[in-house]
Amino acid sequence: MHFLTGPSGAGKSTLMRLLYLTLRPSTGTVRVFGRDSELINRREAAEVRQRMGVVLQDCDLLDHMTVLENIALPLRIAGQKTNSLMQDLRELAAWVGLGHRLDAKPPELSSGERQRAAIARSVVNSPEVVIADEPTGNVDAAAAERIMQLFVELNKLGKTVLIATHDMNLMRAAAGRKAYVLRIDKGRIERSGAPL
Amino acid sequence: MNPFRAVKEVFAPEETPIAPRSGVIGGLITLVALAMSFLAVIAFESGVVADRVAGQWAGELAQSATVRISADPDEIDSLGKAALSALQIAPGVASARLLSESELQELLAPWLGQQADVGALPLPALIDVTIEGTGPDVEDVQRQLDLVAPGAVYDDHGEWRAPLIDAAKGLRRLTIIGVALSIIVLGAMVGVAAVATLWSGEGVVRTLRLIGADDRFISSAFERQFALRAAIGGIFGSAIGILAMSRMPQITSSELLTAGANFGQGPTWWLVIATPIVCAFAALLATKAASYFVLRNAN
Repeated sequence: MHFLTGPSGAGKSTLMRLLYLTLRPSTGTVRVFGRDSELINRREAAEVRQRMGVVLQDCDLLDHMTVLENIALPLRIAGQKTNSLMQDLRELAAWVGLGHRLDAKPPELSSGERQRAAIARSVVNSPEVVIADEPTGNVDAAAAERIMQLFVELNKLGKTVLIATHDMNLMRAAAGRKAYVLRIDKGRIERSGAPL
Repeated sequence: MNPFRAVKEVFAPEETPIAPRSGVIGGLITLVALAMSFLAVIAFESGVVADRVAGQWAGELAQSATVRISADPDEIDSLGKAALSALQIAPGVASARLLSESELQELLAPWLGQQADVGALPLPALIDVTIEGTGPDVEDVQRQLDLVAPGAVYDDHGEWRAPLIDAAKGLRRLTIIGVALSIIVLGAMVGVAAVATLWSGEGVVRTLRLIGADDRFISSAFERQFALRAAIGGIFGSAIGILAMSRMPQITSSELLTAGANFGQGPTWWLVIATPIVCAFAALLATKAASYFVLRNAN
């Protein structure tokens, strides 16, 4: 489990975007899954993103779809039929605490519920790494704690989790886990790989 | 794609479509496709009918010729018979027949009335020639006629046929332009609608990208919706167009000027199937082009 910390404007989101390839470096080199991001074309970038789960601060759920359909979306993109996976999807939704809101649409959900749906969506196709950029930025303290617990559980299940946050208190949720901190400020790394 | 499943997917999809419903824009695409396919069918049908009539006229005129003999009334019978004899042995002539006085009267009836005494008029003798194959050598026949019936003129109707053939070609060109313009306008409208939808649905595009969708997947999510809407508009537009054409007055007369001018004599009913396919294809291409433009420019 890795935490990317630093004050607002430090460059955390920029670094995250470089990782999930919606931004290309103007200088230097970014290697994603062992490949230079400059050499990854648009189609390959999509394939790379299928290997990672991304959770952003503003959730990015599709408002015209239900919670269950939003969670299943990466499977549809990967060309899988979701009908036969309904039980698994329901269990995943229940794991993030949304078992009772499967047919609700995002605008009907609270911020915390939306974020939990986004987390479920990010792991539905078993990504190799989960990247979360300020995942608790829009939720209250109780919801933030619950969301962090979900990331810790994911890490316990063997997923690599990278979370960008400026809230040091959230990192306490990972106490007892093998976690590292990368601190940046003004685009520069201040501390790298320090244990939590 | 199964067309029934495709239509069902628009009205009662099994899975929620990836792209949000295009609402007013989707309705407008259907409406534009309906109007454009209606106009395309009308243009196509009108072109087909006009082309058929012009072709028929030209064809009929090409299979016949007329010999006109102008001479003094006391010589005209003998010159007519001499010309007829010469024509009957000319290569390329299937048959030749001297028009009787009553036939001449019938020809002039539209101008002089049925009761006119054409015998009192200094009319030329007319020989109706039916030709075979490519017809006789006009210069050769004219030389023969000059020898046996001075003043006889062989008319192969070329002067009449040329403008009819030109008219047929012109109508064909206009039909192609009319149909092509309808398709282009439909494609342009769908393209504009697709660009607007993609820009306004920027959040949807960003989300789909984020979870691993490539440009082709995103584009196809919108393409399918627009193509099906265009196809539905095409079905109704072409059906209404064909219905409108079939309700045009039917011409039963077999006279030269109107023969072949009825709707439904050619292979036109397949337009109900072809038009929606063309509409859908135009919409598909337009959406693809629009998606390519938008997705390339929206990072």
